[in-house]
Amino acid sequence: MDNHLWSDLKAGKKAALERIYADHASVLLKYGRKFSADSQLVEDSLQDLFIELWKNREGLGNTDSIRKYLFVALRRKVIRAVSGSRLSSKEPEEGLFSAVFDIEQELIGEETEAEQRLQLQKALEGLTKRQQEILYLKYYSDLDYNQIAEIMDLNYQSARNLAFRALEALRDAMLLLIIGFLWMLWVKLS
Amino acid sequence: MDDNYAHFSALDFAQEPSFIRWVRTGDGEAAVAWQRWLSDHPDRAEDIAQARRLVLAYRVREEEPAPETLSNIWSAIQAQTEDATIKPLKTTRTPLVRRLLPYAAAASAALLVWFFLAYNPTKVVFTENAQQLALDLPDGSRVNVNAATELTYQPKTWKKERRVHLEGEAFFQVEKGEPFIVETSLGEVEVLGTSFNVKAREGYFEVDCFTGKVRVTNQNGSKQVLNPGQSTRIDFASGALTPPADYNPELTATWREGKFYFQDATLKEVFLEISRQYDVEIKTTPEILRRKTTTFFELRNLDSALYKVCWPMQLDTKREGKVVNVE
Repeated sequence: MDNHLWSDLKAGKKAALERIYADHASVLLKYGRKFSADSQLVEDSLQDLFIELWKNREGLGNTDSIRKYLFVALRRKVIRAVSGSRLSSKEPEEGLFSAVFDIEQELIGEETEAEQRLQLQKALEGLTKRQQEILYLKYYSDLDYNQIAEIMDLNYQSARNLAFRALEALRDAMLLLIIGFLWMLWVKLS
Repeated sequence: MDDNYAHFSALDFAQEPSFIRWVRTGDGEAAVAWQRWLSDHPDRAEDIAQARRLVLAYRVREEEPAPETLSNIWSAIQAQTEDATIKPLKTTRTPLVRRLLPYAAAASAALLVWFFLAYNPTKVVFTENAQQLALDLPDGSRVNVNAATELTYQPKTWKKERRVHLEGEAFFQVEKGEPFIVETSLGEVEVLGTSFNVKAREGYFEVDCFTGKVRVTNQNGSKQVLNPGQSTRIDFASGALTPPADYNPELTATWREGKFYFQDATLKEVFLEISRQYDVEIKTTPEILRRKTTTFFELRNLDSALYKVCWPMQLDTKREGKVVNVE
């Protein structure tokens, strides 16, 4: 389906552009906002992205995933705009992604103490920015690791490793939480 | 469900698309499949529970973009990608002066002079087929005008505004100063002080920047800024200006030296140039006009120009006076 839409776009069908916008604009905006708190900047970047997509449509290569193509392009655009004031327009090594986390109630049980929730929050915030980003792409964007690797400018294996380390760190933090919880329960009961 | 999952750890489950769908969205199909798998593998319950906790732990506070935000952005995109058709120039255009001639002839010579000086301060320069000329504008900027071209400007207001109207092809060397604007029916070129070539003829618009910076805008509002050595054209399929591309300086705007190069051009374009340069009529078929060629001719004599263009395309030419038949 992506293939059809993409070749319609290249053939100059405006309806294809509109369809692509309708399918992806919302996810793109949400992703873009993780790189800048300035929502105007992100909206402008999205707007430019679609205008350029239309103007350069004849020169577009093929793509296996429109969403991946758009994520790559928007990420690049927002990062360039954000780093406008810095010397280098490249993304710093440690990454720029930043998210605010919400902790699920269901997670550890209703009795979850505020203290424990805070600890999980800390564990999430303790992930590197690149680790936070790869889990976001995995859980929120419906993309596979090949596509994610391309978006984050990594090779496939590095992307897998990055995601593995992130989940490992989370798992360890949660094991500690559960041990702490059981220990507290035991103290209360005895 | 295939049993690759038998060797999955909690971390693997937490990265499996259908598993993620089940946990995050409660997707019906995925839920049925995973619950069945779990009842077949009760020993994996703890891993599955751990994987569920992992997927649920990563929860980002997301604000859904407001519908107005999305529709405002779309309107802005829509406005800037609007398609407008460009009207091609008329194939033959009678110079303004000649259009006025019948009326002028009726008037007395004195009245004509007065009329031009007092009421029609517009200066019109035009070249016929097989004619080129060079002229200086009031500020010392220099223009080379190619054959079959009309150039108009207002000497009276020149100091206030340097603006010429061009239909055809000309090479400009502009003195530094206020903005200098070349308007054509296909697009506008704005510069400060520089040299550049503009070709605006029926169904064709190209600007080549030689020195300085040149800003080009077409009727659709498509804009490009050219640096020295770059050119842009109107892509009539999309109506937009092509992105700046390097041109070969040895093959570009060489008409001033009487040399005409064509790269991947249609024979129509080449024959139009020959008919302008030699003031001849060329008769041929539409199929031949559509054929593409890379070719070159020099302004020396018509027969050698025709030979150079037609021989490699295996076309025969027959010339009778001012009419050439190509087939």
